[in-house]
Amino acid sequence: MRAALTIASKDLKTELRSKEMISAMFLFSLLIVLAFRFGFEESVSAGSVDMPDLAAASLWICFSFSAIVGMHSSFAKEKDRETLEGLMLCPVERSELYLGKVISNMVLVFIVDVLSIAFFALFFAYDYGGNGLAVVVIALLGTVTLVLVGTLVAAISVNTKAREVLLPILLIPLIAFSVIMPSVTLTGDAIAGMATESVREIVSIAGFAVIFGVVGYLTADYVFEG
Amino acid sequence: MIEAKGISKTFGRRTVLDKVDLVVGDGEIVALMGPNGAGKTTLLRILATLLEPSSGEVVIQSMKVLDDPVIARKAIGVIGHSPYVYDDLTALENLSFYWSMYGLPRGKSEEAGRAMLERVGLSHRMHDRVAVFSKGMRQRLAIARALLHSPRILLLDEPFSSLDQKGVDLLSQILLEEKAKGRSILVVTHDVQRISTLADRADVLIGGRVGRSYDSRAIGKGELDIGYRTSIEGGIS
Repeated sequence: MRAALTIASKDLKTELRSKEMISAMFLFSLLIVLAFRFGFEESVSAGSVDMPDLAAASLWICFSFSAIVGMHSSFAKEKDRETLEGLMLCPVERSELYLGKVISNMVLVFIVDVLSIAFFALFFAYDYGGNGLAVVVIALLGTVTLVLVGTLVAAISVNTKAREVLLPILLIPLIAFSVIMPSVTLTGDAIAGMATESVREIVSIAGFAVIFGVVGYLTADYVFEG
Repeated sequence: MIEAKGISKTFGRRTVLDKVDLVVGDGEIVALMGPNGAGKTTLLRILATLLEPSSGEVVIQSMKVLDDPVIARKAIGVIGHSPYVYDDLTALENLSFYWSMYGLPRGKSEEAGRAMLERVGLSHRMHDRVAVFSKGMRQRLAIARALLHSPRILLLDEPFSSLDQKGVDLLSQILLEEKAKGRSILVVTHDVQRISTLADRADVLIGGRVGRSYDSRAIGKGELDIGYRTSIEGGIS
């Protein structure tokens, strides 16, 4: 665990200084919220749009796409700067490398999630029906699952020539039904004050988190050596 | 001691290494030479556990590396084509990071990092980010990184490249000091003159095989220089 925390701490420190990933993720998220704001301007003004559904859908587009941008960069940077080999030379289990990247990706993606929630509240002048905290908690749950599978797929795709294309091609089908759909439903229900009725979605997202976490941890040797 | 026994490596249909045997004993510096594409870097990567051989095995101090590569890596220090350091960290932070990754005692990383930077002549720049370092300074930091955990085996790929004359002399001095400590040192290089003053033996790799081996007496008599030039021109003398 020490190596995993060392990698995560190094990643966060370098990111804090360079701001390469977080600024791209931040702008991506901001752009999506703005696009929704102007796209739905008339409907929102007329009150003809269901705000919990709009918020849930647009937020999860922000979360998932900015996460893909961030997770891709976390390995691509190491590969391009040839520091990935330096990590591979260290006497640590590959599962620790995976875990370290999961932790740092999770922190960065969750920061962008919270910023996206704030952007939506700001641009739509919306208070999430007083359930903003529930939205943040659901974002955290979905992000854990998203990052566990995304980091694994990013590690697989980083050694391929078409890694920019391969990551979304492999990841989106995996997360569409396991994370995005239940999370959108859950977020919409939470805003409407009905989160307790979405136990099935909560169990589903948590279950996939466990599955992806175990698979990532156990297959890290093969993934990184590949 | 590190030993490669019958190492072969193929990429698709191309055989890069063909049953290579190589031994680097304790307190020995061995130069691995050969023309471009001879398989030197591939062999070094296999010895460093970065690549698995198609057949054959690597043994470190009578332990098969593939049985427990994590333990084997503790005994190996590598200087590769890239310095493996982070631009956004300072020189000292880079060494602290690797100190922790090697599982070395907490609380001693700064002291060890400072001592190592002193040894490679970078102590005056220890708090500067690596992004502002020249190529030669990065190479010095790579040397510090490779030596940080006091490895018994040193695998160096073109370690003199990018270094100025002072750096070359410093690295030569460091290699002799490490040799005196009983380390096994393998140096991949094209620099015949430089390695002639350091190596106990030079193996020339041609077409994926050790084509010729020169002991220190032959190296001293200038046979390595002539033999190496001939091998590069296409044949083994």
